[in-house]
Amino acid sequence: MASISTSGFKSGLKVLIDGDPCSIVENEFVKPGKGQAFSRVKVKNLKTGRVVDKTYKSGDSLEAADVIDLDMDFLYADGEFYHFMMTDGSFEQYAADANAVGDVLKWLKEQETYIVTLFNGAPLVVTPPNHIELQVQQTDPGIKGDTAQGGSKPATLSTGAVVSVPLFIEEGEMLRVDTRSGDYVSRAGKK
Amino acid sequence: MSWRPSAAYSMLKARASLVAGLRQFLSGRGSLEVDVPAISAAPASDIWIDSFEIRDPDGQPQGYLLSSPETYLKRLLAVYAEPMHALVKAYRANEHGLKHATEFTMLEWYRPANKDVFATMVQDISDLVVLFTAFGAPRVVTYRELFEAQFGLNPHTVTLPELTDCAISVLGPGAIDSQNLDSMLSILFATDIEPHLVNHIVIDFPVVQASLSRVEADSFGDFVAKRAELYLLGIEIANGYYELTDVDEQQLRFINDEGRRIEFRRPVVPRDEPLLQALRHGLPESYGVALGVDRLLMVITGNQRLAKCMTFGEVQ
Repeated sequence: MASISTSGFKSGLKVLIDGDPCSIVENEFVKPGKGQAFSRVKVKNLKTGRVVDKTYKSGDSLEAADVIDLDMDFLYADGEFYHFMMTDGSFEQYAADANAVGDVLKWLKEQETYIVTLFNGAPLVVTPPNHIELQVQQTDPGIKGDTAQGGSKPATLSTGAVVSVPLFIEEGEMLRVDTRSGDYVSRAGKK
Repeated sequence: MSWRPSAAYSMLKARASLVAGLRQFLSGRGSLEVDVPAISAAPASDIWIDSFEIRDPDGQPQGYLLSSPETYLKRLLAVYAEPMHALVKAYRANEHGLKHATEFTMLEWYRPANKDVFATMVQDISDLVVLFTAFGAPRVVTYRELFEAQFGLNPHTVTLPELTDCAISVLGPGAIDSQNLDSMLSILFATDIEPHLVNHIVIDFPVVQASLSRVEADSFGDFVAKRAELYLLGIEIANGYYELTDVDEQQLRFINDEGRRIEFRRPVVPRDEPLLQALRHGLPESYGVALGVDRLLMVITGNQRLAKCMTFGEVQ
């Protein structure tokens, strides 16, 4: 793959650092009037999700990482792998392991579209949509009269995620949930 | 790329008023505004300043765009020994960022002084801050104080291995692999000290960063470069030098810069012979200050992006 010098660093750029695929989050050009120029870079390791600060001399370069984000529908899990299919009509399928799915497991719903990040052609990370509609599988009935006070209670959703919901929510209802915060957003109509 | 100006109309007004004010500030102190060429035969010798080389349509070299009007102002000073200033566009290749642009506006002034040259210069910079900002008089601190407080190291005697260890503990392992003292000092200063300098004049720099300033022993007996740099809101705004007048010393610095340019595989550039001749003729005891006008405007208007303070700034 091509190597990219500091002048080409920009947020979103995917590079290899110590063999790991990383995404540049922020790049700051630092140069004292008479001194050497540097790039202070915040990079996110796409494997571990960790964000670290790195400093490079101007003119240094990093290897570009073969990383691509693709829209795919989740099909099914076979106990070992999670199978996704491209939404571009090619029907091409990819199998992601538990590492790639990670915490997204609790937002994994069949027929829903996810962003699957491929590294050297293999699924590296699965990113859920910001909002997802899921059914309430279990929640205790709300106590009458409490609704006005806007209290909340835990509800277990069909994917296993537990979210805090208003007292009036009942089992079987479809809810709209924000996957970034894990917060209840609204009702999405009954099923 | 947009065809539109990058500055709002209110910014254009703030800019015009600042420029008029700066001119008044200097002329009020008896300084004469002079016009200097934009091209010089030799560029700055400093290893980390990349000047644009100019060529004619036949490809023949025609000199370099000024990275500062220093050489011309010193030549004027050598002949007339009067306070003078120039407001110019300065050019530095490969400088792009939120606080950097390849073309920017620089105000540079020189003033002969018979005594207390350095103290007079620091006062000059301090007066400017009081006059043009709401920050009041800046705190004057030595580079040593700041460096010792932050890293527990004396910047004037520290060795490269000590600095490298320090950089690894501050910036993380493998974060930087610079092999020279100057750059290690710069990166540590820029990342861990500069952001805390809200209204400070830093004085007495490490000798390795003397550039064209005089070197003297400080009160601890360490040799320091008689430079003063103004920082506002963590941004380098101006830098002043107690000017080197010794032609032999100047020649040695040029030779040293050329050696470093070779060592770090940077282009070796022609030596500024007219400047050496001016020094040989005799430069009066003097100080010189260079101020980044666009950056001062950033601070005054509270804008985070240099491009927004320039009429047609480079959009990132």
